Amino acid sequence: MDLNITKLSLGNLLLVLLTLSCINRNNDSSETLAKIKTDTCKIDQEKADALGSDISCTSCHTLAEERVSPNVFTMKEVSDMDSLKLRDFLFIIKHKKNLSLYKDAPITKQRLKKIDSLSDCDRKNLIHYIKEYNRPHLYILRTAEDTIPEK
Amino acid sequence: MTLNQLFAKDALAQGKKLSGGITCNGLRIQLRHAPGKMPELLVTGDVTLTIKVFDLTTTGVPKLHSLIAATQSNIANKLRGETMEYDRYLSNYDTKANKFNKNTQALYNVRYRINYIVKLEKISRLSQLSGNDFVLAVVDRIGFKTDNLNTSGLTDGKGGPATVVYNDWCKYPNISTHEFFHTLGLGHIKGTSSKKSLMGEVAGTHNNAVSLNELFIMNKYLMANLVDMSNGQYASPTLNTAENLRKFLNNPTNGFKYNKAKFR
Repeated sequence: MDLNITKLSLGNLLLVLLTLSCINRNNDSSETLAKIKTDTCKIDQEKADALGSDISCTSCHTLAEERVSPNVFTMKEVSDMDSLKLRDFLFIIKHKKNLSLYKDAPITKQRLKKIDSLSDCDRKNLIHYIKEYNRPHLYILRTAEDTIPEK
Repeated sequence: MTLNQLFAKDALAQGKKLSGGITCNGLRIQLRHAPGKMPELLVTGDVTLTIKVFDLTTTGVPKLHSLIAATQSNIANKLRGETMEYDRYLSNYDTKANKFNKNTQALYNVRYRINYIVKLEKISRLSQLSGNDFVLAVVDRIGFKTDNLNTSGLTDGKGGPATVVYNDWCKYPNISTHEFFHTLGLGHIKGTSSKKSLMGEVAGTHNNAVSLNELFIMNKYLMANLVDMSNGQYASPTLNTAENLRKFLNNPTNGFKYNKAKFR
């Protein structure tokens, strides 16, 4: 008798646990779905280029193959970095060791402050700009009949 | 001394002409330092840009010489003008030694007053192409699939190679300048301003305007090795031009139709 009651209780407990786990799983997926829906950041090449040109990473991270100084990466090396590492690198704190250099350079100071004030989406676009630097760029020129009338 | 400088010096010692896409005989640097302001470097001098025009067509190219002359003058005109780069991180300029000292660094505003001498040289053999040359390959057709429009030029950005269809070049004389400017780091201009812009994504006979920002971008690419360029004989580093052109032409996705017998 006792054994039957114990079996029944355990069976019920198992059913409750299964139901709970199913409910929780449903909640998880709905949360994930909600997260996906709220991420509205679009990677926009033109916006990324404008940000890159505004921040002007290449003023310090040279386009040349050789570093300007041993501790400042070339643009190619920066672009080679993993995106997660880049995300961390984009904060001003990572540039602070060179602050004495910037003290008489208001434009660079302003550019670096701008990095810190970037929104999450802008930061993603800036990372895209940096990663694009090392990627091949194929430019296709298409031609159509002229639509602008001769002056 | 970089390997590149060593080659340049060696070439000079042997009485050879410096070869490569970007060459110069030492740029002049003048340091101006007004109190309370960023030090400014004024960079002046001649820089030669050489673009090898590789005729890979199967048919005759009667207009090629006049197209080359027109493109040469168009590129030189578009690259004319002073540009300013703010806060460029460089080796310290030593006014006593009149050269950059690579052991210390500083930020400078750099004012470029460069006279670009543009040379388009027609070549007919692969052996005439050096690793550090800029190349513009002239082909019969580019079958790269896009929407219903015709593909007239295809370029691998920053360094090239650049390609153009001969018949389309005859029809739209500015397209070779457009393709070469991709080699110098320019992208396409989209939207309404693209209709008159040289870098508009759809070419026409009226597309020939270059903005100050575009000039700045190209100048930045060309002046990337400023320190070495101010240090005597200079030839740009290798771009693996011949090998890259071979891969580019043989990539079936690009759909090039050209005279394979000439590519030797």
